Parts: sequence; C-alpha cells; structure tokens
Amino acid sequence: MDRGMIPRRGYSLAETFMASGITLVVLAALCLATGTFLRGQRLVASRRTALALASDEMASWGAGPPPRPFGARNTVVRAAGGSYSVRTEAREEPGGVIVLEVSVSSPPGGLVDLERKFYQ
Amino acid sequence: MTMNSRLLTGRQRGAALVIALTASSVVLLSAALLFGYLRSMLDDQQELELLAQARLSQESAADRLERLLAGTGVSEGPVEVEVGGVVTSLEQLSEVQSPPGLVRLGIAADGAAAPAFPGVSVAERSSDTLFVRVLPLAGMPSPPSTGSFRIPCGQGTFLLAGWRGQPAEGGPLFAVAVGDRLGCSVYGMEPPDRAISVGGVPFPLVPGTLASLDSVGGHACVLLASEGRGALVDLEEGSVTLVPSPPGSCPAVLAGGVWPGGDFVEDPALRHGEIVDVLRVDIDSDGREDMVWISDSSAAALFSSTGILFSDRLPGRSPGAWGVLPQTGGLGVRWDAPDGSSAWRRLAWGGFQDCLSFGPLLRNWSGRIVSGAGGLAGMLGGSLALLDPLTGSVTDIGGQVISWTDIDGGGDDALVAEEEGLSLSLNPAAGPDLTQVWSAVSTRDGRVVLSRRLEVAMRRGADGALRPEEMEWIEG
Repeated sequence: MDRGMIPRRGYSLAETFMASGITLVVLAALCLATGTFLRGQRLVASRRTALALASDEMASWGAGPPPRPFGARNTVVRAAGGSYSVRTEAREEPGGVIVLEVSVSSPPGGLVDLERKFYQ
Repeated sequence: MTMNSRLLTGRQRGAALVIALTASSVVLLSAALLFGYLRSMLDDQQELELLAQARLSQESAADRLERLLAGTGVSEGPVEVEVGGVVTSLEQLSEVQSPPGLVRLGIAADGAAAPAFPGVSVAERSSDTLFVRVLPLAGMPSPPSTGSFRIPCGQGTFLLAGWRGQPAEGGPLFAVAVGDRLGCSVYGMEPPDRAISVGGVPFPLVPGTLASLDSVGGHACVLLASEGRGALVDLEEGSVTLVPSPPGSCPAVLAGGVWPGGDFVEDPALRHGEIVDVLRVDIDSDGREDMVWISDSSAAALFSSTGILFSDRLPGRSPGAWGVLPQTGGLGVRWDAPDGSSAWRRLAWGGFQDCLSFGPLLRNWSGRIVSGAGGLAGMLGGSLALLDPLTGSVTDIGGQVISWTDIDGGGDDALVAEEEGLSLSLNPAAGPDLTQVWSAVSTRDGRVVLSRRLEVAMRRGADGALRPEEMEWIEG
C-alpha cells in the first residue's frame, strides 16, 4: 500500500480549535444575550408594576385638586415581590395651576413619572 | 480511486466547520430574536407609560376647558395644555341643543318635594309613615345635613312646605302638615334631626289645600290655605290663627303681613272650590310681588301695592292654561268650555278683558305656562315641553307637571311625575341645554399618542347661564 493512500480520519487540531473557538464565542454571546434578556424582562415587569402603582396613586386623589397645604410625601410599597418607593408631590404654579406629580422608582432601576394639572 | 478518497476526506473536514458555523448562526439568530423581543417589550412598556401620561394630559385639558366654560359658557378657540411632556389640544367639533335635563329625585310619583335651599326636601309615604329628607342639588352648595325624619301619617294626606328662597335664620328648614278632612298636625323640621310639632290644627287638608313656610312677625309660621280660608300656624308659639279670604283667592303672606287681615267668619254659602295654582309675580312692574290665584272655576289677581283684587269667572268655563306671558301683555288666562271652544282673557288695569289669541297661544297648553329667555315652558301635548316662539320648534322635556315652585332661587322650576318617579326640571324656560363635542389630540415630539373625543353636557344653572355638568370621554 502506498503510505500516501492511508485515509485521514477525524479533524485536524487547527480545525478543532477553530470550531471550538467559534462555538465558545457563540455560547458566550448566547449567555450574555440570555442574561440581558432576563434582566430586561425583570425591568419591564418592574416598570409595569411601577406604572400600576403610579396610576393607582394618581387615581387615589380623585378628580379634584389635592387639598392644601401642598407638599411632598414619600412612601414605600411592597408589590410583586419588590419594594417600590413612591413620591407624591403637589405644588402650585403661577396662574393658579396645581400640579400633582407621582414618581415611582422600581427596584431594578428606572423611574416612572406621571403628572396631572388642575386648573382653578 | 485515490483521488476520490482524498476528495471525500477534504469534504468531511469542511463539514465540521459548516456544522459549527450553522449551529452558531442558529444560536446567533435566537439571540437576535431574544433581543428583538426584549426591544419590543421595552417599546410596549414605554408606549404604555406614554399613554398613561397622555390620558392625564387630556384630563388636565378637560379640567381647563371645564373652568373656561364654567366662567363664560364658551371657550374662544382651542384649548392647549402641556403636561408631563405631552401636549393636548382640544378643539370644538360640534354643538347641539338638547332638552333641559331632569333631576331625578329617587322617590315615587306620589311623593312630594319642596324647596329647602340650597337643597330640596322630599317626602315619601311608606305604609302609615312619612319619610322626609333633604337632598343636595348638583351645582348648588351642600344643604345642612339632616337625617331622615319619620312622621306618622296614618291613611291621611300630607303637604310639604318650604321657604321661598333663603330659610329664615334659626327657623326650620322645611315643614310638613299631616292630616285629613277633620284637621291636621304641623311639623317644622330643623337640622340635623329636631322636629317642632303643633297638633290639633282645626283646618281640613282637602284637595286644593296649599302649604307655605313664611316668617310672620319674626316667627316661623306655616300657612295652610284653600279657597276662601286659611290657618296660620306659629311654630314658635304653637298658636293657630284662622284667616278668611275673598272667594277665588286664599290667604297669603305678603311683605306687609298676612293678607287679608280681619277676623275669620265662616260663610256657609261659600262653595269652597279647588285652588289649582298660585303665582307670585310682579304683574304691574312696580317691583313688588303680586298674587294670582287660579281655581277650578275662577281667576283672581291681587295688586299688592294698592290692595285691589280683580276676579274673573266665566259661567260654564274653567281655566285651562294661564301664565304671565309677553304674548298676553301680562297675566293671561285661557278659558275652556265643555264643547272644546276656548278664549284668552288678559288682566288689564281695569280688570280682566278678552284678548286675541295668536301664535304660541294657539297651542294646546294646559296648566301654568312660564316665560323665559328660551321661550315658553309648560304642559304641551301631555308632557312638559319648551316652545321657541320665534321658530315654533317644540323641545319635549318629558314628565307631567305636578306643580311649579322655585327650588334653586332662579325662577320657576317644575316638579314632574315620570314613570321612574318624581323629577325636577330646573328653569325649563331659560332655554335648552347644550351638548358640545370636542376632539382631544395628544402629541409628544410631534407624534400623535392618543386621540379621543370629549362630550360636554352643558346645563343651565339658577341664573339661566349654561355651565358644564357632565364630561364623558369617547374612545376612538
């Protein structure tokens, strides 16, 4: 038999390195993507809860302007397994406009702000 | 053969890379999809937050519009407000007239209502007990809070009396008379739950008996009156004074005291008719309130400044419609005959005289007709309606008028019976209500975030001016 005729089985070392490298890079990217997705999903869920809390807080003041004296109020609300900080502030602007502002900070970060104006 | 083996081996090697690259592509595609999904979730959330802010911006704009309309009844041009970075613009699309609204009192049609300024007192019978309470009126200050008064009334009848305008200081808010043909008891109701009672009043409560609450000599008194006679019940002293009056009229409390003065002498020959309506109006334009009585067979008017009483009676005819109208130049009464014919007569300086009937007077009115800026209001064709004398258009308000009274201090209000119970039509002659439709468009950085329509129901207040009463958002 001719030595040169011996069939070569399997992959070469360089080929294996190259394939493994590609796979590792892709797997790393996948891990990063999955992590980012999960964080993003938590952020969205948290902002959704924060928006619901802000809307509830805004609705709790009713259709009329907030009573005097105006000022700010901070509360902490536990909801959906997290702790949310709710800040409500009422102030009077020139022209007799009363502004009611509700800010809710969600645990993963980010602020949901809602604002309403009342005219006298 | 050798060449084929080498070629095959080369393909196998390439296949490994292809598999790795294909798998990587699939994984990268999945990652890209995940990112895309995450992006869309974040965008959706941002849109939700923007939408919530846009709704608040529109509510703020509606609030501003309400203030503008409450001040003048009109808003000149569009209304624009900026709240939380969202700009909302309100622009009027249309304005249509709507019938004057009815205020449902929530009591049965056989109940009663009377002024209890700034609210309204309502009475409703349940078995042999009368329940009386005070309700607030939309657009008016809150009345003193009272509980529900319970008055035993047996199988007899009852009358509810209120002040004309502001109640006297320290006096009862309203009064109730309960009794039958043999006599009655009178109760004065003071908030929150005190009742002063005067029993054994020798005055029959018959059909056509009227009750009013007045201040006489500084005392709160209830005047019970029917044709030719009356009884003045002093709620503070508990005394009762019987008062006579000429045929066709009944006693009344005027600025100078109880009319007419004099001792009571029962005239056995006098047939006591049924007073169907009493009007307190300034007929002679002297700035003083005059009296008009309409009974089932007569009409009478008293000029309070001179004390002259004019009376009118047409044999075989009875008053069918009446009112102080521009078309009759003052007090006019339509006399109906059993054969269906009718004729209008008006009160002139020398007494009642025939007058021409034309235009609105030819309509099939029944009972009192009231005149106002919006036209003539009264029972027309079986229900309360508003007629515009200029165009001849009739706006049906609904319900059957039981009585006219001034509940809100702004003119004649009608107490009407409907299938659902008693309702009030406040100042129906002031004119029709209005319904405005506004478009509300909210934008952020030039992009439309939310677009809705706002329907504003404008109702007339005691002064006849239109003010926004209800606002409703219409999606889309």
